[in-house]
Amino acid sequence: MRLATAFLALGLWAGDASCPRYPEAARAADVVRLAGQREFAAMPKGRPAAIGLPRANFVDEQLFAAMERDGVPAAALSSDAEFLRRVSLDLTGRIPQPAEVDAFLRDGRSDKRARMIESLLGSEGYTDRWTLYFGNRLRVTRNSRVTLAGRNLFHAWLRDAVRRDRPYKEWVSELLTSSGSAAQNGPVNFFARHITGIEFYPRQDLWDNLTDFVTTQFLGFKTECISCHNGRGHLERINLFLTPRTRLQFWETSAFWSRLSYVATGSGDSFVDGETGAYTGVTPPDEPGMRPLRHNALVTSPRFLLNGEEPAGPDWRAEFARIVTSNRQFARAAVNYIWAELFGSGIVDPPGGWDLARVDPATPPPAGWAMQNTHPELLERLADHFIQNQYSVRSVIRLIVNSNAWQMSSRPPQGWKPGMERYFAKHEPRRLYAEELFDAAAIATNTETPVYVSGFSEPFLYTGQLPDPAEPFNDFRVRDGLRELGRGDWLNQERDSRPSVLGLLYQMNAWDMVVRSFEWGPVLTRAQSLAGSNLNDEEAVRQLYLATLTRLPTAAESAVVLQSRKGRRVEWLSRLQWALLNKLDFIFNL
Amino acid sequence: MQTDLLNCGWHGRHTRRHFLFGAAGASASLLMAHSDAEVTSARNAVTPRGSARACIFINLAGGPSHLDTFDPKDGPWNPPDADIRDYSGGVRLSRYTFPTLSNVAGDLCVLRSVRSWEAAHERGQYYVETGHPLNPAFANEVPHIGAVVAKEKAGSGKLPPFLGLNANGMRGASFLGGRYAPLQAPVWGEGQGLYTLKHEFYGATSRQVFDEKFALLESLDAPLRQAPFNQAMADYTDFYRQARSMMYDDAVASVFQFSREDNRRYGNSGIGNSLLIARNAVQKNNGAVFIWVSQPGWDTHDKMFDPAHYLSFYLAAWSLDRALGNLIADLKASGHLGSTLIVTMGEFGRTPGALNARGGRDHYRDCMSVLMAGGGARGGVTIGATDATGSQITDTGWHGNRPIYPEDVAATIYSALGIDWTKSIADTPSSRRFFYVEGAAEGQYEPVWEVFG
Repeated sequence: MRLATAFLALGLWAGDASCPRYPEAARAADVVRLAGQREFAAMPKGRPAAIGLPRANFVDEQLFAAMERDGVPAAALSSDAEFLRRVSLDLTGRIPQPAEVDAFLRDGRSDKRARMIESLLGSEGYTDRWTLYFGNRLRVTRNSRVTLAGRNLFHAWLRDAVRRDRPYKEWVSELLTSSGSAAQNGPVNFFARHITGIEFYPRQDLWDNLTDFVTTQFLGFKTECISCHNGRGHLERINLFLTPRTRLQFWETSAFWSRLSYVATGSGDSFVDGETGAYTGVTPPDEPGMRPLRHNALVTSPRFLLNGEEPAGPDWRAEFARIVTSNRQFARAAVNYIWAELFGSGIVDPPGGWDLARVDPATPPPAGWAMQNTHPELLERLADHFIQNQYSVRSVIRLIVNSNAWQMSSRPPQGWKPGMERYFAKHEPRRLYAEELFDAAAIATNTETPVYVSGFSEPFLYTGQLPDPAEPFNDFRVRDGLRELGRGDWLNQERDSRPSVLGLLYQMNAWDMVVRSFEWGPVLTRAQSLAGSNLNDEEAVRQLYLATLTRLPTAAESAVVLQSRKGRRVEWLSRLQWALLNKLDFIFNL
Repeated sequence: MQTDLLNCGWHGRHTRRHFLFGAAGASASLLMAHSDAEVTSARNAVTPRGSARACIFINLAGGPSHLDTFDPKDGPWNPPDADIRDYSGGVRLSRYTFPTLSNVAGDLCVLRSVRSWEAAHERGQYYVETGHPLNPAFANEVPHIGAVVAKEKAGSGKLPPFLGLNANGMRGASFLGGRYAPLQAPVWGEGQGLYTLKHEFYGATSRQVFDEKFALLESLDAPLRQAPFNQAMADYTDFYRQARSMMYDDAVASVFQFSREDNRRYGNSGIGNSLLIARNAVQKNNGAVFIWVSQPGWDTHDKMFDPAHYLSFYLAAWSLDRALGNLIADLKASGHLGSTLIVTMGEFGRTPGALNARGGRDHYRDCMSVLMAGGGARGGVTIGATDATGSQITDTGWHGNRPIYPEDVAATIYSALGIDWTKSIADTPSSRRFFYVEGAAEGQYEPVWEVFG
């Protein structure tokens, strides 16, 4: 047995192709995934055809040029109502209030969309929505290591960065170099959070996990594979860039963390950097960790995987932050993540799965491989824009949502074929996130209800403002609802916005969702106030549509609804309210 | 130590790209077909036992003391009233701790040569739920065992295949999809049932109101459902149909209901009510194939034999005894025990021999016990043995001739349910192959055939 395991470890060290965990057959099947990219590259191209939409900025110039070149049909521009709902959800996480919809639809100014974007970008809702986005990516959650105080500090720190639009480069650097007590310094909880989930393991595993997290989240590519074995013999048909990379090279990058240590104290964990220390292969014999054994004798000095840069001073962590954030890939990955959030998929997709050997047209991949990057020049211009605008996340979002490409309808145009998503030739509908769905139901029905969270003096009116997915701790109804809708806890369960039977049963039948449609404690619901108003039936229906779906009913819909009138006005209006809350165009951001 | 490198299951668990906030994978599904062809069995020679139709898994969260539950020894640590008795096949139980279970000792199959990889709750719990080691990089991608069973065995029943009861923060279906996610029904409320199966805000007319609303919804939504804008939207049509079919169905609703008398008999506890629902689900046979029940309270570091202590061992043990003892008796009486595999285990054992200085036992991974019953498992059987203090395995008692690991338990469950435990799925979010049981394809882990005889 001992011999066999030693052989196994050696085999992995050498990148043996006979790795039992990843046999040839499995590798071959994995390659199927790559076929999708090749299919896109080889898609039968139509005849070049002009795209009639005006070019609002370079996003349009680039995307439309590719569509024109390959004869891909573009969707029509979204209607004002579609645009308003989409931009409100994507920028603030909430649907607009009916008065805002009404005003926007009546607004006759030609630049009203740009004005709306500007107003939303400066709103409190923007801070809520994008704090949630980054909070989810950085996993700002409370758990056994992250205390309530620590969680609140981390959340407040992140929220401040989003609200003030601090340069992304600056706050990521601050995150990566933060030290001291997690109970006193918000971003330190990033490290506390990484310790959590693994009560005992060798320090090397912590460092290796941090390295993979940083390359994935901030540079767009995973390095987990080569944290266990060389790329050779494993990744030849999966990732060209990682194939020649070695486990030793991974350790060299991981070595930047090796002077970081944590001290558990009664009041929380502290993270400090030593003047000395290095990455060695020595691990406690009874806690070998999750990875194949490292070489005991080997001491690895820091060198960055992408360019071989070494630390210029003794503070290795600070050096690592500098080296990572000044690499152009840092900006590329960031804009691609933001793009993916707004378009549903990245220019390089998935945004955390770059193959760096297949993204630069100057060095095209060998035959049999497709470029992973569908719009290389666009991506570079986005990165330039980001850098020139002091790494302003808000400016990238502004640029993207002002493009006509982003403002296209999600309805497939004539001649649409699967695969054309990669041209971004129409908008991709996405299901509302759990918090968005919950809040949209409250807004539509006029039943926003404050929830209280420990450590915050003011209650939150919207669940999209909650500081972590364990909240609201004191309100199990709201918590259960968000769980059923797929919020996840970011510890054991990722966010999952796909449909589920329980989620739909919840949406259709739970007290919290149903009662909003007719009678909700002290406040008048939308259905009640419309029923009691002096509007005629048809106008009441229009108002209900406006408040719930951010649009007016079609003539056919009006006819169906008016036909369905039965009983008192509040009764049929509340039935309609319920139906609208369960409609696909409510559940989705079109 | 010799087998520790078996724990090197570092493949098949890389992180998700798309589960990150935002990219719901909608576009990907149009571009790349997810096909069953990517599910493969590594060994054609494998023949699952197929003796069980359903599995009830009781998760003793916190790590029960093997020495004070299913592997008792004579020793000064036993409370004076322990009353340890021997039953056929080597089964031993404290009659004081397990008065009800003692009555069904002849139906129990006790695995005593089990070893955990972990001595920490979080990692151990992860193992129990998934049969996989916790690697943070892949942790969220690996589905719960129940979700894998659900995917394999979901039939046409109206109830979702996977139920999760009395469990907080349990893992779900991950990339296998919402259809196989656990239905986490409430177990309190004296058996009123699952509240979202009905629309009950309009008194006697509630159902009629619901039908009217639902008809209106279908009529207004018809254009979009007929021409959805992408796959994610298209998926909803089926889900609405399935959810609707569960509503106002007496057989579905009755799974979650039980009488006051049953509630009392099973101990009026979270585990008791959960096992009542599990019993109903098995007896109704209307879709559920894996019922996960969690019982907290086994982390007995202090004063474990002091019934007044808030974390007393007896609180957990007596609740389990009444619930599980009656479950086995009920299923046996109704003729469902033979087709229902019951598995009871925690994340690890507890320190052997004498109690610690605080009158409790601490985490211990070298020995633990797993209790099985029904579903083809032989009754009145013990597999393996430990030494006089429960500190080391002295007899592995099975053909594997090494300690039984959680992976082997998982393989045993899969086999009993007729599932090829060597299967794997290539199309995962991370592109890294998901193995039902890591290493099983190479024969590193195997079902404990001795369970079945």
